[in-house]
Amino acid sequence: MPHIGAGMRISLGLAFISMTEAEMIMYAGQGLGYLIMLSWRAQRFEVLLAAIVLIGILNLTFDRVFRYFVEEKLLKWEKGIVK
Amino acid sequence: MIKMRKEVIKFALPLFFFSFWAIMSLKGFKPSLFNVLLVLVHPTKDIFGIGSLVTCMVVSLKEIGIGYSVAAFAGVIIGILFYYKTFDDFFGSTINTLRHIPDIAWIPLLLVWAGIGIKSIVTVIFLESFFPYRDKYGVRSKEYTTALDRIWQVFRC
Repeated sequence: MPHIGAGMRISLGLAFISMTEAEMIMYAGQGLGYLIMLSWRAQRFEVLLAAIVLIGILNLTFDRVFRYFVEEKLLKWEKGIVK
Repeated sequence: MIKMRKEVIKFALPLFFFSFWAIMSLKGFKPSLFNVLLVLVHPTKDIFGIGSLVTCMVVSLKEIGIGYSVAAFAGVIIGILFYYKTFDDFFGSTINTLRHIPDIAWIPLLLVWAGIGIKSIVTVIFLESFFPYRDKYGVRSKEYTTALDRIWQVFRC
């Protein structure tokens, strides 16, 4: 279970990365990566920065929620970890 | 008191950064780069407004939710199946090769297969977040002695 939890946490971060780059390259008409590319082409850099910061905040929130529920509640029994 | 000090220090750097940004935008220095506050103070109704930010966030979260949950479900099952040596020998090298392809390289091919839209983005997210589960060291750890103990340890919560 600790290994599964670690794998899930790693791939959660990777999912955000791949989501952004897929939307940026496909220019898909929706999503935050698309908003970045669109505002870059329209030279609206304030929207660009807002989208970047929003992606960071979302990723951080998901990571912290995951850490709270899985690593502190579910895996309380795990030994050798300083809380 | 120490805890409060920690909280203050934690938010000091972003606050400093954004106040620097605000001062720059108010002074009119390079308005194209520094008027980020305008989007927050004057939420416009067009595509660049704050409503579009929320809409895009909802779409992105939907994609993440579908792609990540499917990948997690499939990945955990595949990862547990890697306990069997025959399975590992048969699929191991193939999956290892696929794992080292960057997901960005799949995108043109997926555009041909699934078209532009949520389907191909979900597939990219699935491909990226599926492979970290191939973790035979978790299932094959030497700490576990009996088979029953191993099953218990893998699913112990």
